[in-house]
Amino acid sequence: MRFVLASARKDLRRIGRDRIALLSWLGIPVFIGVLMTALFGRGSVTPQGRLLVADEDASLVSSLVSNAFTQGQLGQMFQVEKVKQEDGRRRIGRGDASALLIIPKGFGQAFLKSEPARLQLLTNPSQQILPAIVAETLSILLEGAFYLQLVVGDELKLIAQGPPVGAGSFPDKTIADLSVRLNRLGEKLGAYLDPPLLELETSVVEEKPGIRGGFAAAFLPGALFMAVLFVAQGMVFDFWKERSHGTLRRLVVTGSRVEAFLAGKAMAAGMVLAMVAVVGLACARWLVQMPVSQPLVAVVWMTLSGTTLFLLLAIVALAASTERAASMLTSFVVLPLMMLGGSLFPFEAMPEGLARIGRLTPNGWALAQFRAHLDGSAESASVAAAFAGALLVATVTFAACSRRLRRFAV
Amino acid sequence: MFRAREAWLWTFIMPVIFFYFIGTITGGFAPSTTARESIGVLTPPDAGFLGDHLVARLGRHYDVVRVTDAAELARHRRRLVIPAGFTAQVLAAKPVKIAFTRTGGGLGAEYDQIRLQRAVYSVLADLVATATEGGAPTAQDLAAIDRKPRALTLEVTAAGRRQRIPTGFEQAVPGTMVMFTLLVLFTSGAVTLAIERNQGILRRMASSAISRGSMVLGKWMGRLALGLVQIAFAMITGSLLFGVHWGPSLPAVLVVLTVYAALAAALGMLLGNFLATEKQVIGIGVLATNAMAALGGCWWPIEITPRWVQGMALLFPTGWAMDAMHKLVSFGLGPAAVAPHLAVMTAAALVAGWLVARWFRFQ
Repeated sequence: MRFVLASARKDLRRIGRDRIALLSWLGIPVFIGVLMTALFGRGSVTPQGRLLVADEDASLVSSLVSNAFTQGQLGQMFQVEKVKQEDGRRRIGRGDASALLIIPKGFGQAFLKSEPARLQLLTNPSQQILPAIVAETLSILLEGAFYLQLVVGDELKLIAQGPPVGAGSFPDKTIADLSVRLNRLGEKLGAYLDPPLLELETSVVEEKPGIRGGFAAAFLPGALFMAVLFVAQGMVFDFWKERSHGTLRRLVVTGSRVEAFLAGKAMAAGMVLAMVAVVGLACARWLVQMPVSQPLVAVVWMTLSGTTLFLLLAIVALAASTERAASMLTSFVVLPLMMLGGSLFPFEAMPEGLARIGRLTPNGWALAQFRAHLDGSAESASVAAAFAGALLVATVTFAACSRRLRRFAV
Repeated sequence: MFRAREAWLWTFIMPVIFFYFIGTITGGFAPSTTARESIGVLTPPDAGFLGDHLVARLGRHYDVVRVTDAAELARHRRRLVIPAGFTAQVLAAKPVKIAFTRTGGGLGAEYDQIRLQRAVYSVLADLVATATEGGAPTAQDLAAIDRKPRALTLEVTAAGRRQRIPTGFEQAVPGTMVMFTLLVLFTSGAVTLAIERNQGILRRMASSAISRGSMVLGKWMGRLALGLVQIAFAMITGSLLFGVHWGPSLPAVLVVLTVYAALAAALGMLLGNFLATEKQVIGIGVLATNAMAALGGCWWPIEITPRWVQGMALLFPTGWAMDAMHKLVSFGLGPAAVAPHLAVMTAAALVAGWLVARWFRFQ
């Protein structure tokens, strides 16, 4: 046991000497947490852009059109900016906004008189979401205008004509007639609209369980396992360093047990991983404000599963013919694992097929368990089974790794 | 650098895998506004003409698949149920609920909600419009409304010269290529400098007759060559495997990417010059690349980020490169549109190169 501890202490000292490298490992979850929280807050993603409006009509009707984008959810998405048409065309031409809406002169009168008029929308081709929202909203507004013209077209025309020549306002009789007509129309339409005869009931069935805490919370657990993979990959190169320094040869000659040496390395890796876990969970709890219902279990799980991943990667690194080949082989293993295993994109964002494969990868499986510890959905029996499974894999990989290490040393 | 197999891995293999992976996933970030999606509609036999009318309205936005039983309906991602006796109930002025179920949430679900509401409430509006004429609405009345010309219309065109909006891989490949060029030059490009210094190679070179400037220039050119090979490979792969169209100004695209690679090479050398060990270079290089890629718009459509991030994108080389690519590829603009981008990236490359030459560490 003393040799195991001495081996671990030596590795930890060596890691501690390269503080910038250590900080960069610890920095991955912090960086992802800070970045995602800063970019998307703690809620869901809302696209944001600028809508340029060249309102050449400057009427009440045209202002109703542009004001539609300043209310409610659309108001959160769009910053509406009034511009001259030429300026707007120049700006949308260089991608300065999501779209340019041109409301032609006479649009308001055309609406009231049911005459033809055309809105022009120039969209930014480098954006997909916001221009589509503007186009859809405008087309709904125009459809609404069409029905208004059908239902109260005559009344609108009357208003558009304005008061008789020489009069400052409409005659009382006209106002009274209009009121009576609108009242009768209201009575007639009440049967359809109060309450609405047709109602749409929408429900969304989540195909994948959602994560509380929004976009940042969806990314952070995967980022933690990305750090785990980087730490594991960074630490397996130590075997090559030990060989080039002659440590392994001396180890074999002195009769010390290779298993104890490997256990020391695994212990050092486990301690670094525990540090990453603590920093990551602190970020999750206080920065991203996501639920961390079983912090201790989560830290222990990340340490155990991370150490197992370290041993798995060690087998790959020890199988290589040179240090460079080890670097390439481990990269070749780590990156696809990272992609599929939910570290670059959460499983929720992946197509179902890829996500299913990803959950079967060692890190993907460990990540799924880790998330269950965070949100408290893991049951005692499944936690025990997961720990037992990870321990079993760790034992088997440890045995395989120490066998390989004995040959690697000489 | 090309003797190192990692450089081959990062230059030729990983980018292709990432193109596929990121293109597949980020393609789902935005709801499809161009491809028609399907919807399953359970239409009972007694739904009547209003049921047909609603299906016709849905057909303006979706490929409608009429089904007759729940099991068949369950196979669809979007499922709409028109209730039994639909027309009869509506004509009897009894409120009717139309149930829509969608598998999977997100922006796509919100977009469906808008389209569905539009279809349902325009049917209601048709009823209201026919009611003003008096009498119960008929299929002929609704058809007559449909035939009426719309006085107010909307004309939507894409700004710039290119009329086809790039989606899917055409969005993902340029972003991934810009990120990987930086990643390779910040890791492989920078780490070799640290290794050469730690192995004493740079010290031996310092004692030779080569000037400091020549040596820095030579090393920079080697890294630039690595970046250019990667860019050329990524563009060929992007065109052949992922159908990326690089816009009408291909030479300008090549110039932009060359200048970007020159800047990334110079920045990578700065990193390798000031950091001491390989682990430091790789750790900081990976973090810096990811930060610049995220904030510069390589990871996701920049429109999903807050306005302050969109404004910040031009603080990073990735932001300048992506903006220039959008102008040339998405807008189809000419070379003049990217003159500021070229000027800024060239100036930044010269400054970074001067800094490396001025404070080059031989040991």
